[in-house]
Amino acid sequence: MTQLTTPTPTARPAAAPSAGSRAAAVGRKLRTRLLHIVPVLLLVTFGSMLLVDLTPGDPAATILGESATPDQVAALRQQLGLDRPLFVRYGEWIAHIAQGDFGRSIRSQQPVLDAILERLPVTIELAILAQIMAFLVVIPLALYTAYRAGGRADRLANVVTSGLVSMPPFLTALLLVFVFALSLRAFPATGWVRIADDPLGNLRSAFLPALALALTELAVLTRVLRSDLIATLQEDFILSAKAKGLPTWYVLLRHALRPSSFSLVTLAGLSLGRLIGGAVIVETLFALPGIGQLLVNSILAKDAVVVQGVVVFVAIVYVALNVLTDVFYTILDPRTRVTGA
Amino acid sequence: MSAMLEVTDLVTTFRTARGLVRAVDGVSFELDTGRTLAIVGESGSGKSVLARSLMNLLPSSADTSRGTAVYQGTQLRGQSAAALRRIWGDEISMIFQDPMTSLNPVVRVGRQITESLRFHRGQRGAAAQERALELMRDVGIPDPASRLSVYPHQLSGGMRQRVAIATALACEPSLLIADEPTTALDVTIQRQILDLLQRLQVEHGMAIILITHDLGVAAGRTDEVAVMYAGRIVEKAATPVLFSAMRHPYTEALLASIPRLENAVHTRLTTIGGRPPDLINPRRGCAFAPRCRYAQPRCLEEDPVLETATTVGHEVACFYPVDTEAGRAALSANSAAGVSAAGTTVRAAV
Repeated sequence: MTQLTTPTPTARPAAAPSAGSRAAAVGRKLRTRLLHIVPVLLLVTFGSMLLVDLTPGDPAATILGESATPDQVAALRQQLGLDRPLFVRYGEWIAHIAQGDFGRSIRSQQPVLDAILERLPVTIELAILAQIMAFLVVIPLALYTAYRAGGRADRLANVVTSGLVSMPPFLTALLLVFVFALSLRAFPATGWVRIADDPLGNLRSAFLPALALALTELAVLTRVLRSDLIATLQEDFILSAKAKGLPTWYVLLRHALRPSSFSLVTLAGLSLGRLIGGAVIVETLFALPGIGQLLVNSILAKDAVVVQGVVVFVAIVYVALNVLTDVFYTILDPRTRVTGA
Repeated sequence: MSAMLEVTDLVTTFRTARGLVRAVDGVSFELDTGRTLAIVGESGSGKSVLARSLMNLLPSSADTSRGTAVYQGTQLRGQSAAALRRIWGDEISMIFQDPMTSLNPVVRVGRQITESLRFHRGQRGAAAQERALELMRDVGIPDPASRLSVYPHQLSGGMRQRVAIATALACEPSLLIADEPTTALDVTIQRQILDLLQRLQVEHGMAIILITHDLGVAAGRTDEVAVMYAGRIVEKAATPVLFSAMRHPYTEALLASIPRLENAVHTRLTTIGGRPPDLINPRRGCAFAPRCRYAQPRCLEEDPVLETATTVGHEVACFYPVDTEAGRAALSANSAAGVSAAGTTVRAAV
C-alpha cells in the first residue's frame, strides 16, 4: 500500500508572503491528492471486476448462443481466461491497464481503449456544452435572486428550479424534443454531426441533448449558489464593501461571488464527472455515439471486457476531476493554501 | 454656520417576527468639522444601528422614514442608493468592529484599499498602488510594498484593523464613523489604534464618531460624549464635564463598573443589575428605571426628555439627576427603604 500523507486542513499564516505562493500551494495540493487516487482506483477496478463476475450468465455461453455444446463453451472459457481464479485474472487485467492496454472487446475484437477514445469527443463536447449553458444561467440568476431574495423574481425562479430539479432528465429531454424538434423543427431530434464535417450542424445536433442535461444541472446549481450567496451577503465584509460606496454589481461579483462558490464548484466538479462518465439516458434518447451509449450496448451484449474498461475509464475521469476540484479550492480561497513543506 | 452633521429626532425601527423593534428612538446631535463625538452604551443600546442609520446603510427591513440626518446640507435619509454611494467611502467612511470579518478573506489587501479610489476618483493601476502604499505607511504598516499582495488572514488583528483604517481613509473623508474599532483587539493594540485615529484626525482634519461600550476609550480622546440607553441619548456633555460631573444614573453606573487598579484585591466588581430593556414592547416611563437606584414613582409613569442640566451643552434625560437636590433626595429615600420605586434592591450608597 502506498504511504499516504495527510493534508493539513487548517491554514497557517504565511511567514513571508510571496508572489509564487499560489502556484506552490497548488503544486503541493496536487502531489498529496495524487497519492490518494491509487487506493481509490484499486477499489473501483476490483469492484467492477467482481460485479461482472458475479452477474449471472456465462459470457462464453452468451457469445456462442443456445446451440453451443458444453465442450465449445469450455473451450471459449479457456480462451477468454474465464476458467482461472478471480484474483489471477484481476492481477493480469490491472497490469495490462497500467500499461494502457484495456483489452479487446469479446464481440468485435476492437481494442476497448480505441472504442472509448472514439466516443469520447462526443461525450466531452456534450458535457462541456451542458456545463457552459448551465453556468451562463446560474451565475446571473443566482446573483440576482440572492440580491433580491424574497422578491418576485426570486419566488418565480424558486418555483421553476424546484420543478426542474424534480423532473427526471429523460422527461426534460422528451419535452425538449417535442417542443424544439417536432413542433418548431428548429433542431434535429436524434443523430450526431461530427464537428469536422460541419461545425454548425455539430452544434445543432448537440444543442438539445446539452440543454436537457443543463436544465437539471442549472436548477440544482442555482439553488445552491443562491443560498450560499444569501449567507455571504450577511457578512460584515459585504457591509464594509458597500460602505466604501462600491457599485452593487462590483460588490456582488468581486466580493460576494467567490466566497460563495465552494458548494457550486464541488457540485459542478461532481456533475462534470458524471456527465463525462456518460450521460447514459440522454445519449440513448438522442442516439448519440458517446460513452454512455457504448456502456449500454456492451452491457446488453454481455461484453464484460468493454464494460469493465468503461467503468475503469469513468472512475479515472471522476477521480481526476475530484482532484482538480480540490486544487480549485486552493485557488478560490487563499486560506486553504497550506504553507510550509 | 450650521454644523457639518446635524441629526434631528432620528428614528430607526425594524419589523421582526416578534414585532416592531425601536432600535434608534429619537436621537439628535450635531457634529462640527474636526471634532470627535463618542457614543457610549452597552450591547443592544442601539449604537451600532445609529452608526448605520447615519449612513443609511441598513437592511431593507428597517424603517427610516422618521427623523433627519443632514450632512453638509445634504439630507442623507430618503436619498437614492446611487447618491448615497457617491457619499459612502468618499465623504463618510466607516470602520467596523472586527477586522477579521470586515475585510474580505479572498481579496488581496492592496485591492481592498484601492477599491474606493477606483470608483470615487477613477484612480487605478500604478497611481492607485502608489496611494495605497502611502496610506499603509500613514497607518503604520511596516514594509507596505510586500503587504499589498497578501490576504487578510496573513496579517495580525492590529495590522488588519490598520488596513481597514487605511481603506476608510483612502478618499480623505471628512467624517469617519468608527463602530467599536478596538473591541476585537488586544488591549495594547487597542491603544495603538486609538492613538493612530487621533493622529490621523489631526492630520486630516476629519470629524470622528467613535462608537464604543467602553467609557475608558472615550475618556481623553473625544470632545463630546453621548451616552445611549435603549435607543436614546440619555446624557450628552463635553468629555471632561461628563467624567467630572455626570448627571444620569446610568452614566454613573457605567463609570462605577470600570474596575480600578487602586481598588483593594478581591473587591467585588460593581455591575449594573438587570438587563437592557426589551426594545419591542417598551414600558411606560424611563427605560432605565427598573435598573436605577434613584427610581421614583414618577420615573415609572413619565418619560424624561433630554434637557440642559447644570452647564450649557450638558444635557441629561432624568428627573432625579445625580448630585442634584432631587437626585440626592431620591437616592437617600431609596437607600432608606432598601428598594427603589421599581422594586429593585438598593444597597446603601457606594
